[in-house]
Amino acid sequence: MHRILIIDDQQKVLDIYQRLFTEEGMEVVLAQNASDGIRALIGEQVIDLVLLDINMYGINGGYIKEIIDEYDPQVKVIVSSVHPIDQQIKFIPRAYDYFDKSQGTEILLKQVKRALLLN
Amino acid sequence: MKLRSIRFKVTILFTVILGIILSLYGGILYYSLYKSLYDELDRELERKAYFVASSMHSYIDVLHKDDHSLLFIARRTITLKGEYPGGQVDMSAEQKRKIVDLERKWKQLYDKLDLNEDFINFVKMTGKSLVKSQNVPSELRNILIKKMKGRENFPRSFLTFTFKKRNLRLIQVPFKYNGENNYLIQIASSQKPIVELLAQRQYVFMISIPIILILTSFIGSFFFKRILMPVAEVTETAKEITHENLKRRLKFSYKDEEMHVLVEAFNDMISRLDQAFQHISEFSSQVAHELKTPIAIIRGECEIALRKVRSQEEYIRALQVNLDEAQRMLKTIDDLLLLAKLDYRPEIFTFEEINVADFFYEIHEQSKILSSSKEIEVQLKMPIDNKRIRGDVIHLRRLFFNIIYNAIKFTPPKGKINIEILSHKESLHVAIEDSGPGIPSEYLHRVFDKFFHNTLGENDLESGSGLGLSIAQAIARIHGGSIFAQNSSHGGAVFTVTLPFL
Repeated sequence: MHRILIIDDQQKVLDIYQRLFTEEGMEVVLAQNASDGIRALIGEQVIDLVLLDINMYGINGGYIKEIIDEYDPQVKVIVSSVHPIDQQIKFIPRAYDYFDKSQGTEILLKQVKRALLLN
Repeated sequence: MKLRSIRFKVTILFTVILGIILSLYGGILYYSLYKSLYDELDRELERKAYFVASSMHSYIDVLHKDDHSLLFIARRTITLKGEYPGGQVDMSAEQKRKIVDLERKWKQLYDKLDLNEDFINFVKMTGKSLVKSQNVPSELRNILIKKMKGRENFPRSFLTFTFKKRNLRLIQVPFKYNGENNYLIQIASSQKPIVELLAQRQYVFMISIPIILILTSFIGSFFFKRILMPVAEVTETAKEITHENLKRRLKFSYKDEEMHVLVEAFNDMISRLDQAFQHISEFSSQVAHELKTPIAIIRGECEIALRKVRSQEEYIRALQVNLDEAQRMLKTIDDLLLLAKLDYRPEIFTFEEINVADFFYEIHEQSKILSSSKEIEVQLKMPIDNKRIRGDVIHLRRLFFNIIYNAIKFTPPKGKINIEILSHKESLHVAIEDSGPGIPSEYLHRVFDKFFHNTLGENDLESGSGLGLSIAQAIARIHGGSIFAQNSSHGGAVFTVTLPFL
């Protein structure tokens, strides 16, 4: 069972993603801030993929990414944001993939499945 | 050269002023020449009359004093000719010697004074002309005698008249003989040389002044063009500046004061424009960003709801979420519009006198209602005086409620909110303190930024547009006041609003 860690400060967004991935048969761990996210990451459960929201102001997604890289470089990170993709790349280079939230859930699903090597 | 140009105006002005000055100066010079020439002529005539008289007196001293002698003397003096009537003069050798000497000296003087050019007439006051110089035709002599009438007894008199198209200046002096002033010496001189000289001088002025003016206007115009060249350069650079290359600035190499100041002011203006455009640009992307989040949520909810058949409750929930997000977007847009108005068109405000006590009592009452669901206590501390401020009631209410909403949002249930009002000398200070977790110090200076969301201590981020405090700050500023955010000693946040008194 694949496990996805979703870090996003908006409750409604977490709700949507949880239902989305649960219906696809994945396990979902939710975190609404940096510390919860990191705690979940280094906790007992193995995380296969992190869906990381970057808030350009406030929680520093880049900082979280560094910690993830340090802790387990195998974990794939998909950066998600309402900002355009090219700005996301500038902010966090070398993530596995990037998702613009306005692109819709179908695309996100495709990206996640590809990252987890599912069809 | 264009007519409506500074260059043209300056050239014309300069040329006209120069023209006036030159004309005045020329006029003065001409007039002084005129006067001195004519005065000189009169002085000359006076001298001539004097010398003629004194020469005759010298003769008289040597010879007999009788009428015939007088005639001879007059004739010798005036015409340098003539014999003593009756033949040999009864003169001693001594007298002869003196006469010769006298005549020699007089001849020299006569030539020196150019008396042969002048018309000389020696008359008896009765009107009888005794001697006249050879160049005087009888017509002229008659005129001279006529001119004498009425002036016989003047010690000296001048007259100007015309004879045969010639302007003559006449001097007339009485001559004493035998103790009686019976005779008159008349000398008339032609004014022609003077007239000719003046005419020539006038001609010179009338030719030279316009030439000078034309020359100076061309030279001046040329130099003005060069002097105004920096303005042309500035104009060229200004034309090139569009909103796309606001980074350009004018170079500062001008030494002239006016140009330096102009260039500085221009560059400052471009900097301000540049900044303004940057702000707008950033703002636009911030707005897009802020509106994209609710849209992403709406889209997500709809996509998931449509993936398969759902239960009624799930549909209802999805629709409710979408509705909430739609309302959130509308609020954001409304707040943005208000902010835009506040920033650029504050004339929507209607200012009136507000009684401080009444105003805050009302706010207090309403705050208590708003906070009742979280059981938060709202206290008001206010001095009892009749202070007044000048403001727009509706917008001031909004200012304070924006702060109070925040306070309620961040204060845990059963907490406290304090509203304290202090009167300082010139302004009112309103401090709103809550018992929430306060504002992290790194965010204190950003708390009034547009779209700034503070996510700590609040689990329902969605209820705010992130613009409440920006709006509050803009309203305070329009009232001539300010807002300041800090943390209290108890850990909660304190927002202090300052408003000037009437």
